Parts: sequence; C-alpha cells; structure tokens
Amino acid sequence: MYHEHFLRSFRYSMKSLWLLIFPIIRGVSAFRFNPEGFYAWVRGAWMDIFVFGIILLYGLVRWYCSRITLTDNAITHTEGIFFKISRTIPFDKISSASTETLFFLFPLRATVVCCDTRAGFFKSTDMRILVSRDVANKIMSRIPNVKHENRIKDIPVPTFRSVLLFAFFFSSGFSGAVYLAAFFFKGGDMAHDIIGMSLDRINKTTDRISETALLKIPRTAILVGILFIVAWLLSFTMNVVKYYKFRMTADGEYISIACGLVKRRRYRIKADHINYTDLRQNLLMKLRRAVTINISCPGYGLDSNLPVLLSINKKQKIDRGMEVFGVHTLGRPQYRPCWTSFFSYGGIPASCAAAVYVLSQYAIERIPFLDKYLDFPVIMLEIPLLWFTAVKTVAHRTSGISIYSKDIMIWCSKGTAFHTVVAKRKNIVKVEIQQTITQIPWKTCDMVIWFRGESRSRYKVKSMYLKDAREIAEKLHHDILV
Amino acid sequence: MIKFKPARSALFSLQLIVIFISLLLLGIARMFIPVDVIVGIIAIAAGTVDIFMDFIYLPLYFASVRCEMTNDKITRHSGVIFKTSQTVRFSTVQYTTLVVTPFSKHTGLNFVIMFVYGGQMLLLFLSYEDAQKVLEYAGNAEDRKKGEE
Repeated sequence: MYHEHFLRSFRYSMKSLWLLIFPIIRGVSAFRFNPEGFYAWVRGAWMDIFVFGIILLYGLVRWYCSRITLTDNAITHTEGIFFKISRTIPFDKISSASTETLFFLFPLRATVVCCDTRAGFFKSTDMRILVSRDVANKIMSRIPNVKHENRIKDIPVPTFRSVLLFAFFFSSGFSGAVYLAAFFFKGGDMAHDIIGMSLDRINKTTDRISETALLKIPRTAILVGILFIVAWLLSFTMNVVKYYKFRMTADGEYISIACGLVKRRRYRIKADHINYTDLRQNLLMKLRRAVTINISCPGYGLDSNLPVLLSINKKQKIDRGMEVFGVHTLGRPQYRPCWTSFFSYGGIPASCAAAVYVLSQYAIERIPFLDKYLDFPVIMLEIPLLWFTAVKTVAHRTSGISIYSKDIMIWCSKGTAFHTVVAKRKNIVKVEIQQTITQIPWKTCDMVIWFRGESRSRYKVKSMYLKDAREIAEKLHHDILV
Repeated sequence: MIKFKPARSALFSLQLIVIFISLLLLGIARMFIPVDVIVGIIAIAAGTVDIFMDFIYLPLYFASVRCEMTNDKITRHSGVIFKTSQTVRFSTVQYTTLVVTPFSKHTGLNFVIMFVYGGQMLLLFLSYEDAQKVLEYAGNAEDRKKGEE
C-alpha cells in the first residue's frame, strides 16, 4: 500500500484555501514585525489562522486517506475521508499509461501517473495520481513495455528539424490567440498592464510603418497582422516545447513514446487498443509528400487535441517501419468519388471566391467611394477561399476508400487538412450513407464511416457512386437502407 | 445464477434521510420566514413530498430493482413507471468504482459503478457483501472463464 506524494496534501488544501484568499491577503498586509504588533495581529486574525489551519489539516487527512494498492493484476486507488471512493483498474485493461513530470516536480521526485482504459468519461483520464518517482516506477513496472529484443528498428526517429517543421505547419494563430486570452484572463491586472503596454508599443510601431511605407495598408490590418504573427510564434514555441525530444519505440504489441521539455511525458500504449491511425497532411505537406502520423487511443494526447505519433516524415520512410501499425501508404483508393462531382468539393469555395470578387467590383462601380475601403477585406476573404478551392480540388482527386481483408483505408479531407485513415475493420461502429436531393439524379451519395473512440470519430467521403457505397457497406457487413 | 436485490436497510436509511431533509427545511423556514402561513404551506409541501417518497416511490423503486449475475454477465432490472433492463458482460468491464459511505455495512449505502465500452452500469444501494461479490465477479471473470475452459 502506498500514499500519493506529500505535495498532493497541498493540492487538496488548495481546493478550499481559495475561500480564504482575501482574509489571508488582509492578514499578511496587516502583519507588523514587532512583538506588540504580532500580538495584536494574532488577536485580530486568530479566526482566519484557525480556519487556515483546519483547511491544511483537512488536506493532510485527505492525503493520508488517499491510498494506492498494487496487486498482481490490478491497481486500486482509494480516496475520501467519509465517503470512500475506490477505483480498480486491471493492468490488462489499460490502453495507455503515462507519466508526466513537470519541471518543478523533478527536484521533488514527484510524478503524475495516468492510466486510461477504453471506457470512462469522454476525454478524461480514468486514474490520475501524483506519486513519488519510486512508486511511479513500481506502477509502471507492472504495465507491459516494449520488449527490447523484439523492437522494430525501422521506425524513423524524428530529428529536431522535423519537430520544428511539424510545429511550423501545425502552429496556428488561433491557438496562440486563445493562449493570449487565457493568459489575459488568468493573469489579471499584471497581464493586463503588460499587454496594454505592448499594444501601445504596437500601435506606435504600426503608425510609424503606415506613415513610412508606400503601401496603403490600413493601420488595423497591420495591427491584426502583427497580433497574428505574435500568436503564431507563441503557438509555434508551445508546439516545439511540447514535442521536444520526441522518441518512439515499438515492438508490435506495445508502443513507448516520450516527448516534452517543460513537461516530460512518457506513454506506454497497447497497440491493439489503437482505434485508428490517421496520416495528416495539409496542402504544402501533400506537395512535399510529408505526413504526420496520429493515433486515436484512449488516454493519448487528451489535453493536446493533437495525438501525434510521429513528426514529419517522408512517406517513403514510413512504408518500411510502420506497416505493423496498419499504415499502408502505397495503397490507392479502390473506390473513388464520381469524377463529375467537382462542385461538391472545390465548387462551393470557388463560387464564393468568384461571387466575392464580382460583388466587390459591382459595389465599387456603383459607389466609387468604397474603392479604398473594400480592397483589404476582399483580399482577406479571397485568400482563404482560393486556398479552400485548391485544397478541395486536390481532395476531389485523392479521396476514396479501400477495403482489405482486415483493414479499411479512407482518404478524405476535413477543413484544410487531408486525412488518410487506417483502421481495423472491427473498429468500425457505424456506416452511414447520406444522399441529398441533388445527388439522386447523379446516383451519388456521401459515405460516412464512424470509428470506435472516446470522442466522435467520423470520416466522410463525398460524392461516392451509390453502387460503390452499397458494395462497401456490404463488404463491411453493415446493412444500409437508402 | 446469483440473484440479489438492494439492501433492505438502504430503504430505511433513505426514508430517514428524506425525513431529516424535510425537517431541516422546515426548521430553516421557521427560523427565517416570520409569516406563519408561508411556513405552513412549506410544511404541507414538504410533508406531501415526504409521504410520497417514503411510502410510495422509494418502496416501489426498491421492489422493482433486482440483479441477476451469472459467470459471464450481470443484468439489472429497474424502474417504477418505465422498466429498464441493462446487461453487461464482465469481459467488457474495463474498470470498476466502489463508493462506500460511513456505516455502510448497516445502512446498505454502497454503490458499484462498472465502466464498459461506451457507458457504465450503476448498481445502487447494495449490501456490502453483494458489492464485494459483484466486484469479485467483475475482476476475475476472465480468469474464471479460462479456468472453466
């Protein structure tokens, strides 16, 4: 029987301690460094000190009552003082186990151990405990690991350059902006002042740029641009830190992954519990034949929303080492979308791009005064629309489905990303055929395939021939009524 | 096949809890509301809910709940108005949670939650012995199956 790390007692106390934050601040500010002042201070603040002590004691008792038991087959975590909640996870049901060590936990020899199974609440860890490094090692020693003698040697090792490239492609201004917003809200006044000062400086700089530059770029546009670049840089840095020293080993049954600089994470994943593997690309990566391999597995990548298995690699490299995980990049779709269905793919963004241009020209012709105001928004609208048109045109040429004896491969696109999904057929939970009124005369339909997973995992291939879709459903032993 | 029902003591405990909450509400109302009519209305409402829960709903609910357990699966039947039956194979149970309340051996307020693919099964108000038996079956189901083979 083991206890959690002593730090946990503070964590338990902190849950109630915030209630006392204002009395503590008031008490600390009233404290004076002399005997009389101290006596007066204790007399005035004795109730706050008493409650503070009770809360600390509560944390301590709760920590003492939190116990971890390891048997040959299972791990049990019991917590609670009056209401005892005891959670037991058999080792053979654990899909992924991980240890997370934040930089400040290193000197305290503390580690967070997470165990996740295929059940439980969506996107939450089934068991998360803060333990000493020794206990963490004991727990992890019970969980099967990659066998050194069976290790697959062909798995490409991501270099720092590939991690940088990955961060470059997958960093977004939006996530950086979200980060900034979180920083702003959480940091309170201090962050507000810092951001305020920075914004003032940016304003002055944008004024200077607008004055000196020959381009007629509006001040707001420069400000937005700078903010996006800053946000992107933040997101880029966060990704580099998160995937720093990414290492992966596998033996066909288990996968071991380690990554991170500030928070070092080590995962152990049961390969059989992987729901599906997803090769992701954006348009630039597709042109460069580079991919990132993502897996859907309980407990892996819960907080990052991007469960990365490998960083950027050339497709040729993957073919040698990754076939054991069901990744066949040389395959081609057996069933493709109808070749005349361009409108379902690139047609809509292309029409929107054309409409925006025509409408803006018409507006300028009618009201010449709008000329200088419309240029910027039209360009800002046209860029994503044209990008979407290019992405969807490529998606039309490359989408499709292949059925093998045990596996299924789906080539499709979501937003601006291309997906190649590889999964065991047994992991398919639902096959759906959707047909709109406009598709009926062309005898085409959209095919949606749902996979097992903790969150909604569906992939859609648009404008498939109806007879092909029926054939796929039949091969997958799913009855479809259209 | 093993059959079991919620602990009889749990029904008594719940009835006591409902009465206690009603009295507490009444006490608070009496303390803070000076208007006797309003306190009277609250007392009547609390009393009605009390009688309904203690003498109609809870006895019916406890009578409707029953569990059947075999070597490989457990089925739970419940529901006063809408009857539901839920069956779970022990081989699909990923992990289990046991919630034990103070003096649960006497009150029967033990709860077992079995987490399976895509959901969970809640077994409420079990006696301590029944809860342990369910956990034992859920935990060793696969081992026992191998032994039988």
